[in-house]
Amino acid sequence: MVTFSWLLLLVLAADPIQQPLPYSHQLHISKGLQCKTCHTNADPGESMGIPKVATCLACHRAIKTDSPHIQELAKAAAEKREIKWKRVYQIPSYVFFSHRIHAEAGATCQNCHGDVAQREVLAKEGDISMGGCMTCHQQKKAPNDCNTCHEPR
Amino acid sequence: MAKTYPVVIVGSGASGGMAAWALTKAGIECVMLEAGPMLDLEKQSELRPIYDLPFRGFGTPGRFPHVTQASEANENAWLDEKQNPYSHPEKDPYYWVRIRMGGGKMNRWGRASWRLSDLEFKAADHDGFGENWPLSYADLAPYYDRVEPIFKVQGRNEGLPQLPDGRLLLDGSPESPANQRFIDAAKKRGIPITKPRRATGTLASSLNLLLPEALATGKLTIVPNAIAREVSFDPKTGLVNGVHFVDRRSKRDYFIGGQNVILGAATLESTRLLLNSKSTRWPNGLGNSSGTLGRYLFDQIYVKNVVQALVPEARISRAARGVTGGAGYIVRFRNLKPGQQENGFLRGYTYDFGSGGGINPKYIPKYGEPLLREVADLANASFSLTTMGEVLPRFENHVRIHPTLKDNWGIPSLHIEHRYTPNEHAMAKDSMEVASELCRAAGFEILEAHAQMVPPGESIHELGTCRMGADPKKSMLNQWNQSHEIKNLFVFDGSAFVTGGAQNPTLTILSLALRSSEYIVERMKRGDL
Repeated sequence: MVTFSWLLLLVLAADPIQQPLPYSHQLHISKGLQCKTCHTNADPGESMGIPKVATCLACHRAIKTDSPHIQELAKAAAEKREIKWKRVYQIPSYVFFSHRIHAEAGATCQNCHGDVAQREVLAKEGDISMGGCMTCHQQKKAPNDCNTCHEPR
Repeated sequence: MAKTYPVVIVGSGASGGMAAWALTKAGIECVMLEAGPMLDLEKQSELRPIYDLPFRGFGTPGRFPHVTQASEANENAWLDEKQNPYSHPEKDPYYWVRIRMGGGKMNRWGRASWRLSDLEFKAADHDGFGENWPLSYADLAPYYDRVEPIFKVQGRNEGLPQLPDGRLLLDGSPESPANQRFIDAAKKRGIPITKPRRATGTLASSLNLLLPEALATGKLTIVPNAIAREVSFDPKTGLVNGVHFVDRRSKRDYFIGGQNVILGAATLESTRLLLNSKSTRWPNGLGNSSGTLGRYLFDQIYVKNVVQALVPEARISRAARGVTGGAGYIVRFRNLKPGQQENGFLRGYTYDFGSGGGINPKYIPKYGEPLLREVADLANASFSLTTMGEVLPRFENHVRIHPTLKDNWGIPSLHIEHRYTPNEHAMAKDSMEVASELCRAAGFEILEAHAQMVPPGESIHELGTCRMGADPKKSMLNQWNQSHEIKNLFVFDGSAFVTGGAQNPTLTILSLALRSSEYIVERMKRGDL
């Protein structure tokens, strides 16, 4: 007989994600940048964009040009190549989610992504599981029906 | 394998999971047989693109002819019909949908959590058809009160006698303008509407909410991949003394001893197990002197998208944000007065409805470019309802053991006969007419209305076949899910249901399992079991 042993894993926070180039959200936000300065919300508003090299170089053509990492950015731009930033948050394809609807309803970036302004390196902090979404929807009196986030069947 | 456990539980879903939860917390050692592996779909499923699947998402041919819910993307979660065949009359298909893994069908349930009322528990008193349950709503209410918070059921209380209030997380979401028009139209006609009631959380299963706590007591042993084939009966004592099972992978036969046996293998599987547990003493199946084992099979009728309408002002999707959206539930409104038989049928039905989202192109009589434009225009304009109605429990609707057909492990399979009768057809037709009237009154444009029920079984709400009852001549179990004839044999799942209403049954299965588990604890403490 096989006896099943149960392993309870307590997941506190995911490990910080190693990005291709070092980047500090804390430093950039402390200089006065806002989230939307680099993460644009193109129509129809579902996704927040991951910045392109050109966005970085809008400032870094002039700032900190002696850094080898900035030089790496400039080199990528010259070669018409993008940096392959790693996504920290990803929602499955069977879930509808619109950043714009949430922002218009008064949600802040921190609500789901944690205190990014205080982080050197980002890890997944916010709970974007179904349970996390439903708890917030219940508290904020937002609809929790299946078809709010999933295709009706 | 010499050890005899105080309790053997067959199945790890709603009923088995709740039994293990309640019994182990009371200090009773249990062993649980689960026919499938202990998987956690949330953690162990792998998302793959459709182009990586050999049949591009259409599914492996022949694996699931009766499981409309299965796709190639999720097909390993369902029970393979090639390995687990069953039969039905050619003209009367029965869609038997099964899942074998830790947590059972609770890994895939729709989470709708409605209470039954005395309209169901005392249905025979109400309209003279069939039998009453041997318990009333008041007997079960304290257990509903305890189960709802475990599953964090969200909804809204309405104070309706046919839909008792629950201990809910309040759904305070506002109605979209389209839904509000529909609700107002219903209200004018005295038809009550509430918010959906659903368990919340990333997973709302026995697997994450019941089994971990039971295991933490140190009193539960789970044996995965253990397919129960026969409950063992000792003619000397007149009691059951364990369960024979087959290991899913090795196909080797094992026996596990138990002072008490609780079946929670799912409605038709528990009945199949009892029918297969034949002996000289029980030639018609274990504990079946009444001849009711396998009889009175019923489920709930579903008319999917009974009305598909569109909300005219939401036609151009970009302008439609906020006009549609949200869902609701129409509570039973037919035949609420004793003896009533409106429009030629007994009992009643409910609807799920929702607005927003796109409209299936099959409803749009256009082709090519105009069709694509219309689909884009209607991307957020849908309003649709699905009927869920009560099915009368009838002796003729039954399961029996097939004379030759066996599963991959050599266990005799079921033959299932279930037909809908004029009562169900009249109900479906009435639901189409009422839904159409309400949609028209709300100013929606009806694209299609129909009364075609899905085949029996497809709702995955199969119930009955080992029913409770006050009279041992007409039923298998007493009000404690306990065999009338073998006092240490219990059947906790949906097969114990006498009637089912139109409400999704899981919350009631959980509450009955909790109630009967506590009865077992009390009896064991007294030395009666």
